[in-house]
Amino acid sequence: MSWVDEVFREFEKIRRRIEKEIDRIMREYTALKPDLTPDGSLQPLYTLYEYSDRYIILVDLPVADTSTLEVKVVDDKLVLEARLERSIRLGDVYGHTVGQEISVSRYKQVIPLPADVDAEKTEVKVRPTKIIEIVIPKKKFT
Amino acid sequence: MSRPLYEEEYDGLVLMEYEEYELSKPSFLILGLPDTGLVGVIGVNHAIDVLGMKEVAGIDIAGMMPPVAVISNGKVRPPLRIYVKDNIMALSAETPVPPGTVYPLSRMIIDYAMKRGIDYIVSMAGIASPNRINIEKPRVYWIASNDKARKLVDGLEIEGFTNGYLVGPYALILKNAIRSRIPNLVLLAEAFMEFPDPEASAAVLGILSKILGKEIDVKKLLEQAELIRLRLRGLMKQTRQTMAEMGTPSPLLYA
Repeated sequence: MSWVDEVFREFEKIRRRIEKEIDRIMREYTALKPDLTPDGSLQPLYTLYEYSDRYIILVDLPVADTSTLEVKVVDDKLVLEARLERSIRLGDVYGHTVGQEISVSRYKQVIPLPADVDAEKTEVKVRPTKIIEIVIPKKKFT
Repeated sequence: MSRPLYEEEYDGLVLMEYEEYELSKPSFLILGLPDTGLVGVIGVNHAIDVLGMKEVAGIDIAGMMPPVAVISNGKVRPPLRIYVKDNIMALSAETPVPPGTVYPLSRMIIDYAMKRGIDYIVSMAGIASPNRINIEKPRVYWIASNDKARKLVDGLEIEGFTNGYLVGPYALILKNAIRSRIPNLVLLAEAFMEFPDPEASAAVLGILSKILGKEIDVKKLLEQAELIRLRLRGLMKQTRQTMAEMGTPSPLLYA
């Protein structure tokens, strides 16, 4: 094995270590992020799927009144808000002792968008199951 | 968690029985561990509720991370609970299984099932479907550890899961079941990978009812689906992180 291979191998090792560390930090960060904001809104679960020509974001909005749904793009973020059908006391849902008197009445989520989105063409589809499908095409570079 | 009648420790896990019980034959152990769409957790908890099953034992993660005590109605309860009724035993989990616990837990479950003379282990699981949003009735697939397990799905119109991956506790339980020659049937419903999916649970329960010859009504489950989704957001989020640590292929990479 030549010294070049060895150097590359060493670099590869370092790269992997950095990647692992970044993963760990990201995980801790998402784990610590509260899903209830102090202004009394719930953060819904969402997933971002990447396809070759577009992104699809699915957002789970159980008990939401989807007619109040608002989706807008602010800078490089997607801001989604919706009211719940009724105000929900956390104590009734989770049964926890602490914070049981807190009521929530809306969802709010801020989703960072990838750099290559064509945000003007954002399309929002509301499914009867109250899962929201947001389709954002990628910019075409010609 | 009052002091149990019987207790065994196994590689950092503690299994406790609170009372004596007998299962009639043929006996089934239904597993509801957190994975894709929380299909198993939702399904098993619904079955426990509808069948009026009784909590008789539990498994605590004693010698491992994370250090957590679950307090429920003023009492400490283990994160994994075992319920029985007639010929059915059900295991339900309240927290995701930490990656380091997956190995000893899968061995403990098989070991306990053998000690208790369980005839069949049925795992209720979800399989991430990228097209789930467009599917109204999620399909259910099966995987069997041996012929005896495969016979459970004879005459049922469901497809075998012929190619793909199974990641997490159910995967190890299946492999250990093969080694121990205990029949294990895995029922997989197409589910949202990262949202709690009560409809997928209902689909598995439909198949399970036929296998058990006992109707598990899912009407209430479907009525309360939205509240269940709301309630399980936290567990879903944790499960997602735990599964990422176990190396489940992420949809971002494979879409």
